[in-house]
Amino acid sequence: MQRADFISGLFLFGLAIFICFGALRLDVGTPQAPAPGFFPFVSGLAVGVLSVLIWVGGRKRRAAGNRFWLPQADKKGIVLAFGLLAFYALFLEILGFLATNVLFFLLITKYACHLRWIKAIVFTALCTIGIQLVFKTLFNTPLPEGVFRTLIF
Amino acid sequence: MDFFHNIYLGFSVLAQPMNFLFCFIGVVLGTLIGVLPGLGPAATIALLLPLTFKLSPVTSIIMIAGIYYGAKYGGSTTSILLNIPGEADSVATCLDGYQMARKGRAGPALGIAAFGSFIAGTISTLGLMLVAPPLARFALKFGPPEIFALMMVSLTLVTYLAQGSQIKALAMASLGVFLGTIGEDHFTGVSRFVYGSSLLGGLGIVPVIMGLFGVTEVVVNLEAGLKREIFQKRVSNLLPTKKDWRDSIGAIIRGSFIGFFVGLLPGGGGIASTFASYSIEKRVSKNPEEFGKGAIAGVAGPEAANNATSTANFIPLMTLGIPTNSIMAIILAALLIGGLQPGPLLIQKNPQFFWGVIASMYVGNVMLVILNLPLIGVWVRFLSTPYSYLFPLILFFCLFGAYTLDNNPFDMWIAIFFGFVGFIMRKFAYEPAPLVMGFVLSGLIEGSFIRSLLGSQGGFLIFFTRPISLTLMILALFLLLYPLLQRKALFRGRFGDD
Repeated sequence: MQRADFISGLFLFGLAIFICFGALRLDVGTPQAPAPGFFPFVSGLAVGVLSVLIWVGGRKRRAAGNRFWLPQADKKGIVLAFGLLAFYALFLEILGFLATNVLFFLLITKYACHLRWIKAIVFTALCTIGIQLVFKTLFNTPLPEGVFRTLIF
Repeated sequence: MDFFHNIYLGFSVLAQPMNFLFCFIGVVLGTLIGVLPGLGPAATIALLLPLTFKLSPVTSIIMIAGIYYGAKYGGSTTSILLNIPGEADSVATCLDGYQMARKGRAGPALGIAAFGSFIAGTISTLGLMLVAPPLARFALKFGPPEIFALMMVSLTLVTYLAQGSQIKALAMASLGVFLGTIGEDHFTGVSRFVYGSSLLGGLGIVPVIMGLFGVTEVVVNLEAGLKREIFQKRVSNLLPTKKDWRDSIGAIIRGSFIGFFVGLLPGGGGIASTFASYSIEKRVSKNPEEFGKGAIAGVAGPEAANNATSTANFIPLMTLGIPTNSIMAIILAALLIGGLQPGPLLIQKNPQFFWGVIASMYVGNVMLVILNLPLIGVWVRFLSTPYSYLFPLILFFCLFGAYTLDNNPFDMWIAIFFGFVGFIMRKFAYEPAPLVMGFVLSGLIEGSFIRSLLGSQGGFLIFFTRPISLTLMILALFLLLYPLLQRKALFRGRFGDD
């Protein structure tokens, strides 16, 4: 039995139940008069049937013995990358475009790319200046200025 | 007469400075990302989607098409010099290209790859001009049931695209179809699966694609740890000799036709066409034993097939609205963003767009030969760019690209979420392409399905009583069951009647 297929099949089945219940709450209607939940219900049903097939297929197949992570995986780097993405999404409008970019590039190059401080600082400076020039000067994109705007002006 | 008028129209569209400039930018970017480690055309096009808001549809598609076929050119460089396909479709090129490089013949290998791609690109663009308009005229007969049946064919063909389990691919396609229903229902105005969030307008195509392709690609590369070594750093004698030409011209022409016809089939990908070309070349060769040891025909054929496929892929997209692979699905998204509905009416309603893109393919192919031969040294230098300098920028463009769509931070969270989902999907051997296809086609599938039901007072038989729709439904059913029948036949063959 393939554990990965068993788990993913089960997860998809749960998701299908969620979709179908959500669709039923919306009202499915009838084929003559389909309501807003009709089509999501049909797609949820398809996901459900296929998830059962995945699950059954996983039971029939022999276990491959695959591990989740590759042996050389930089797990810390991956977690950090996601963490910094969340940081960016969270602080972009609070700290503003410039400050968030500086922090994002500095932290990611230092801790996820494992560059030396000097290289990380130079790379951050170049990226921030370049991005600022492209988006602010060239494209005139409206950029979030955040808390620093209030502090400066 | 129409034919020449259309060509003239196309070239006059391309002659506009912006279109010409973005054609150039597209092919340069395409070559660059084909060469660069860890950044594929799907991720790059996804990153550039926000830019399409600011460009006219024709300009943006000219650029995106340039990236697509440019990446095919660039992919051959890494295959030949590193034995690592810069692009999945360049796997076959590794077999003999790298062996040629080992023998100090990287120059002719790269040269024939460039010339072969140019010839194939030109042949398949000509084919595109000849095949697309009549196909689109035929597709004009399609009503909602036929469109729905066609979408069913498209979704079942997704399973042929999948490299792994076909059931998983179908499950992902169905899930994608569901994700496409999130937001306001176009028929009733009721919000679906929104739960008070900012999802009333639906999950944006751009954040979803950026997450699944951009963020996921970075994370997958971080996990694999990209360290590469170039076999031959100095490349010289790019121009193939007369013997090289004699050995490869047949392969190039055969590869062009194979690639074109495989690319026409919904689900026909570059990998299938390149390996088909490689095996045919090996079969027709007088010296098949040379294959795998540095036969130039083993580079020329697959490279030609690969490029021809990439052009032919546009036919099902532009005439029927069927994306044949994940990149075509993203291009479909770009077309929709630009307010164009791919399908039978696209050529009729937007001739400037269609013929402009075709003209750009001719010119783009010329640009690529000019770029690839003299600048090969520059591309080789790009090969050694450490990934640690690339991925922070890719992540930034993913997030900020998603944000700039509506200046809405929620779109960034969607991109992050789908980046995470994409990573988990890869871990459990699920592919993102079927999900994206289902997601992009969801509106069209639902619209045609509901309209068909309303038109037939709820009768599902409407899909089986009209000739075109019936044919397509039978085809979809056959495609769905074919792998099962094949497996059964294989089983019988192995174990006999016992």
